Amino acid sequence: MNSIIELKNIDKTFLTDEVETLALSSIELTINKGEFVSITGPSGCGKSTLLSLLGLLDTTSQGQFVLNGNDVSNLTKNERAKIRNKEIGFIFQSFNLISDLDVYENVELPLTYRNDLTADEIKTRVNDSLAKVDMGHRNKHFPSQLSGGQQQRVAIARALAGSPSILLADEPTGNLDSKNAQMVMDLLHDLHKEGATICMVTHDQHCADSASRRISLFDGRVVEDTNLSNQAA
Amino acid sequence: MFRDIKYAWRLLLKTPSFTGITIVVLAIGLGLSIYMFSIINMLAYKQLDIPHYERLVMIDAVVDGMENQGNVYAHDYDYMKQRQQSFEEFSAYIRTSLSLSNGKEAQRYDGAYIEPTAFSLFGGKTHLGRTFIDSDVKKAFIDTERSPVHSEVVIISYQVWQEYYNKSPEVIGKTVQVNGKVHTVIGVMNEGFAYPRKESVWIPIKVAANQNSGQGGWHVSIAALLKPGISLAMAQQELMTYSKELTEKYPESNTNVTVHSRTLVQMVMDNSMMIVYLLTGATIFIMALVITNVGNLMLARAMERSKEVAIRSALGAPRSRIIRQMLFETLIICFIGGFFGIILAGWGLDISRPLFETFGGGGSWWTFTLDAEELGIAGFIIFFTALLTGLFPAIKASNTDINSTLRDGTRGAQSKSSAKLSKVLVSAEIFLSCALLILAGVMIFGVNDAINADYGFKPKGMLTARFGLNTDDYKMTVERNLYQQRLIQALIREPGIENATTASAFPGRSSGRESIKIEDMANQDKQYPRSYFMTISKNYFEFLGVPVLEGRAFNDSDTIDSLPVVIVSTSFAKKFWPNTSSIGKRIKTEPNNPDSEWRTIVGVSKHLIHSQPFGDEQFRSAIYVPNSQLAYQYQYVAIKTALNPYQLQKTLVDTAAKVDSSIPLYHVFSLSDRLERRVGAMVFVGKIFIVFGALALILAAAGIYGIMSRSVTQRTQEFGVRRALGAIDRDIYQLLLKQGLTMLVSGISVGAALGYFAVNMLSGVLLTLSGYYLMVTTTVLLTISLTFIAATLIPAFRVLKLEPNSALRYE
Repeated sequence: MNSIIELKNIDKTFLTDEVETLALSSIELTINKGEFVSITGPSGCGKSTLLSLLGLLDTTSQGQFVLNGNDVSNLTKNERAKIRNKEIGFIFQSFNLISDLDVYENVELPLTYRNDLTADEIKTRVNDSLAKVDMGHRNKHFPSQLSGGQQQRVAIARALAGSPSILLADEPTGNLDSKNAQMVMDLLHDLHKEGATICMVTHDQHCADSASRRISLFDGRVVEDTNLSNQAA
Repeated sequence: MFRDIKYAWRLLLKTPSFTGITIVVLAIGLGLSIYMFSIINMLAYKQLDIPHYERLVMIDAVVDGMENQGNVYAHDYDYMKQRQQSFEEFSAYIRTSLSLSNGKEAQRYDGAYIEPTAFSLFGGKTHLGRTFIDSDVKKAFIDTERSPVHSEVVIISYQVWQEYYNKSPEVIGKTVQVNGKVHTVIGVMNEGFAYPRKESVWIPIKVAANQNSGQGGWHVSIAALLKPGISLAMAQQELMTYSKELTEKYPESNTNVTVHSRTLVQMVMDNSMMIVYLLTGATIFIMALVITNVGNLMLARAMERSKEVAIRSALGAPRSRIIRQMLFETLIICFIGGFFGIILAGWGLDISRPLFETFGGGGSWWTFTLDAEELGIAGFIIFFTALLTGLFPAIKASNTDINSTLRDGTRGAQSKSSAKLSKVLVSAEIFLSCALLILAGVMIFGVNDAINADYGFKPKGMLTARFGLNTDDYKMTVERNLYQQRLIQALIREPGIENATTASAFPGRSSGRESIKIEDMANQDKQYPRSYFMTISKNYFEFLGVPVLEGRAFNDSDTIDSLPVVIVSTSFAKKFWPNTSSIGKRIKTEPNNPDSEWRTIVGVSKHLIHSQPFGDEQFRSAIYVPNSQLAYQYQYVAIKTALNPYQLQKTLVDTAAKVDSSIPLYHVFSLSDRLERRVGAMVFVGKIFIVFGALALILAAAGIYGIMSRSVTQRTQEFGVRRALGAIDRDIYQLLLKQGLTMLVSGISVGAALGYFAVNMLSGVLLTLSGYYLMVTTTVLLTISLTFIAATLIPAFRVLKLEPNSALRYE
């Protein structure tokens, strides 16, 4: 099996007003290439913290994090940024598009932080990504001119543009109505079918169950890890 | 309303650091503005306690385009007086210095020969006795007379009454020698009266009708009262017609001679009006910076309260009530800041009072304190600031979308209008501070140059004093020269005094400019060339340590009976004999006077600056005539010492009294002080501009930092997103600097252009400035750019210290 992510004995503690809070405790987790993992659990169980660690948006307090065979537990800020840029695609609940940039520029943004792509390659990648989410015709629009569903599709295109090893989605349907939510979930499933590795945090049971594997957290610990691919089939 | 005030007060106490910073910024800004506007008001616009103040006009000559106070020929005055239609009164006066003597002790004061009608124009009231009446003048004087006085009465100031008569109530009717002639004291003026400028003793005169058209006679100043309904411009136009007629009739003496009419304050302020305009402009800029800064702080605070405002609106508060409530906060802050500002301004006026005395030669009736009028101005400035800094943020905050604010009132992203406003504010701060700093920098260098100007000699250790020889004992040049030589010899004998000399003027002190006729040289212009003219003792150049470069200095062979001689400056020689030696050539002053003698040039001295050390005046030439051949009634004496010159002040005065007790020395100053007083107004302006410059930099740095910090903080989430997508710190810094470049470039372009305009406008008028523009502008642009970069990067550094995860969740 080709593992993309390996978490070994990961702890994460927060210090607030001199009170130490253990957000994640002894997390052992492996995510393999091509998996669609959903992480679920009640509010405050640590699922978003876990996703932040997976996305190198935050550092672990203890343990080892291996990404694509490389230990990324003790990297500098800038080294983590470079890995995020190449290996990880983010999809946020609130889309997090930049309001001053148009659709094309938003999708282009992560590619502008790389030095290994020519202008033509960037253009091809952006157009391909937008075509994948069916937003190519809106590339001159600004986020404020789009619906929530459309904004999330642009955000997915942005996540895909860098051809990451894994897509990390944090409540991707949380800000959407049911119709748009379904559309986004369909898109993620299509991407998964095309070979993408996806890790999604959600508290929506329906969404969680539609993944190929479901991990449940409670009080910062993994309490359930279920392979759903057979059920889904 | 009380509830709103109470709530506003509570909110201010809740955020002491915000309240404290805002009050400090306001106190400094308002203090400086109140201080400056008070000075400007007092110098330029204040109503003086003179009847028909608004119609009182002072008229002086303009020679070669230069305003020349007290330089209207008595003949020209008479010519205009006979014809003029614009004025109710048209009277003359002559500023001079007058010596009071009781036979034992003499004291010299600034004084004026003044026509009774002119004296009455200033509306002075007597403390004792009476003012002048026409019959006080027995006979009108004519232009060619040696002394214009035909009167036996004198009026003294309150100060003279106090100092010389020890406030004796029996002073009226007492006799006193004024310049050696017996006069009767008929009046003591009220305290503070010192018109036309800073006089203490007044003698009535009358200028006769049908004056001679001759040259070299008396010059007068004119005080006139406009007829109701006639404007200053109309009157000036009428006088210009007469100037033109006089030029046509007497081209040799009157070419390029016109008159200039202005109000009393304008006259006294002279070139200083330009300083007033300059200071007004700079103060407005400082105020704009303060208002931008405080307005920005208030805006940030108002925006932070948008949720509270939305809740109030949802609960039914009318918009006007919300605006009013927010305005109270600004009003409270502004009034506290203003209160401290007024204290600061009062303190500032107190400590800088000595500097004002040098303004425009000194208007002694100015009182630089905060009176009701200035407090009124202060109140207006404070209220205006409160309105400007409070109203806009209150209106903007009260205009929020209640629905979206209540639903998602804590989004951290910077809205488009907020971003645009930040950009405008930052550009404005850069533009204002840039222009002000350029002007301040250039002024500071210019003033420094003026203070340290090389007049052509080293004034260190020189003490000077003025004396006037009474006309009875010292009528002729021989007697006057003899006194001077005796004085010099007596002084040189005193221990500590290395050398002594006398002259009608020393460098840096304006002396009269005379028309010069050059033998065998056709006049290229319609008028005669003019040059500074001084009578000097033979050791004048040796005393100053200035070489006679060609020919010889004056010596004992130059007597009243020998060949009339003259020494000219190199600037004079080079101008008229650029290719040959000037030695042996002949020139004469008073070209139209048939009695005027040809003088042979025997020496060429190094060029000395006899006027202001900047502009065209510094290059003006000079000619020197020996005291032994022509000596004036009023002269300066100077001594040189290795000690602090003031240590020998008593020796100087006492020695002079020993030579002749009836000739008191007065206006005793070191030559360095005289030169510094010459640029006294400039020194004041220089000091003010140091404060302006420093304040502009602090305000701009604080303001730009405040705005950029808020702007960057509001973009924390955006930076979180960018970093989540792979941006490293450098990418964020570069993005901010790139985006800031527009603000920086637009701000400094406008600021530098405005600075250039201001510097060009002032250069030459006040100081030689343009040479410093490039250097100062480069430094200012560099400083502002570095300030801007720091103000951008420091808050970014703070935001980037957050993990991207925290930045994404930042609220």
